[in-house]
Amino acid sequence: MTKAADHPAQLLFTDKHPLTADLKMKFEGVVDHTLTVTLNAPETFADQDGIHTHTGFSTLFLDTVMGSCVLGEMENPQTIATIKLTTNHLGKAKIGEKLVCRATFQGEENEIAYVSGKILASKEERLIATAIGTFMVGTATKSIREKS
Amino acid sequence: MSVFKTNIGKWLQIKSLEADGLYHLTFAEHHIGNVWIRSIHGGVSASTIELCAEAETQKLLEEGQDVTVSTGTIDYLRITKDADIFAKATIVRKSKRLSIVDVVCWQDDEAIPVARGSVTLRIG
Repeated sequence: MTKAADHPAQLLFTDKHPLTADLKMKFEGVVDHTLTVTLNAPETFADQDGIHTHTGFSTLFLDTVMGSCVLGEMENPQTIATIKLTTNHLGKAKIGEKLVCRATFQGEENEIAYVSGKILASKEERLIATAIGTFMVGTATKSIREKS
Repeated sequence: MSVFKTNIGKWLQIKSLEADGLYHLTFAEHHIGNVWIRSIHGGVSASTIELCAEAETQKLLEEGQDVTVSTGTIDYLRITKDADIFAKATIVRKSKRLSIVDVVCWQDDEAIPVARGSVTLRIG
């Protein structure tokens, strides 16, 4: 099993990253090309009822974990970018409940990586969302501000 | 209640503009995904598209109706930078139970979009 300290996306699992610091994600390891990350559904992303997270949170969480999954699969460290993301929202997460996100690396062809992912409410394994992500490997290493 | 008044709406810092279907995300440091090139996180763009689709559908709801996102498909067209995002939402079809909304996002120029999405929403 890969540990957080050995994973290329380890920055995402600390409070040093501006976005993921808000998510407080916990790296659980990589087994058979599947990265598992857990967190408690954050109040910061509450929906209109104030009880559940908004679907946008699931999308954000899945994109983060699936991208991290790709980073962990690369032999040489490279930058990546999401090029396509499809998310199906099957349920709602309650604020504060423990969520498990699993992202499985499906393969890479022509510098495009394919990943599937899902979020489950850990207590009863209730399915919250599923996703398919496509990532370009070896993208820009400079800000477009520096290029222009 | 507008989806932009929710916690996630406040976190994303999105507001509706006066022009029909037009929305504005004010950039914040916590929107950054790639810290080296300072591009906006793909999940932020995707969430923005979902919220704008929801807000656009909310305008057409009858009393007592609610709407939730069922599926979102996002194409990332260009690298973003650490700047505001504008979004234009267009309802493709609204029936009694479903709404299908296309959303296009850009930063500097509407003619140079950074992302687009198609969102299916359940009306209940």
